[in-house]
Amino acid sequence: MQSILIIAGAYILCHGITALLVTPVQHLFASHATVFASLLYLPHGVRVLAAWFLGWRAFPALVVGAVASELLFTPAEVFSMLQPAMLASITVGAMSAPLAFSLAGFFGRNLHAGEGGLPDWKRLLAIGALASVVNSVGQSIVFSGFILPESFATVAAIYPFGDVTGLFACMWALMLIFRWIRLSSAGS
Amino acid sequence: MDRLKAMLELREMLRRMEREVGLDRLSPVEQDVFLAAHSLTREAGDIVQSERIRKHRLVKDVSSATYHRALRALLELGLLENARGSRARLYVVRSDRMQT
Repeated sequence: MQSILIIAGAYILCHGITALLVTPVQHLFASHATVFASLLYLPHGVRVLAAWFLGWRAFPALVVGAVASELLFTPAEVFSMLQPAMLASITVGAMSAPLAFSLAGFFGRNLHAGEGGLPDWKRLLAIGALASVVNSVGQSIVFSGFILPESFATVAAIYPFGDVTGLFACMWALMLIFRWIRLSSAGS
Repeated sequence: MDRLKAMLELREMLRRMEREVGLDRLSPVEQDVFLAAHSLTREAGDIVQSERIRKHRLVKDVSSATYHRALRALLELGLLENARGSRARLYVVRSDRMQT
């Protein structure tokens, strides 16, 4: 229960920053295609880190976080326009990272936290990229009826880009937080 | 999954990230502890006992708390690793990971 609250809370926070800060800036210079995809999608970082810790047990928490985020931050007109596809989109997004770890496990690389593998941030980014490809394919299918054919390639390219930059930004933020805690405790 | 182990791995990973993106440099004490450990081995991957590092001339005057903090930092950075299958405090010296 505690894990669900932490993951869902982190997801809502990251989605809020993306929706209220990243998206408005993005809309100043980007095209129609970016209604469906963000250039810096922070919740992907939460997906990957949650799946790294919990595997498939992160799935319900990610769904809860994504549903709450959509209700809180998606404008009503966009929400109603995308209504039938929204649940499918949330499901695809929430399963992308656990599925990427499962795929890595299938090929003999158990990269979950606490499993004895050497923790490597670049490897986690690679898993994030794989999860993003899974997500991108899924989202392209889910939103195929909504996206103009000429924008399809742009959207398909923006999804992985935004997901990986979002994951990197989350890891960077965590790194700075841990660094700040360490340095302030060493100084006191 | 061992939750504490996972948290430790997260900390190790982020500390290594700090180092690899150039934000983190070894403190003078960490450098001394690593140099002491390195001087007690012949090549990267050799094992050294904590007690021998502690008695090294570079480290012997450092307080115990500072020494152990430096050891922990070097473990987080992956420059030292706990030797497997041993109860004694033995470390593998990973000088191969030291950036020049």
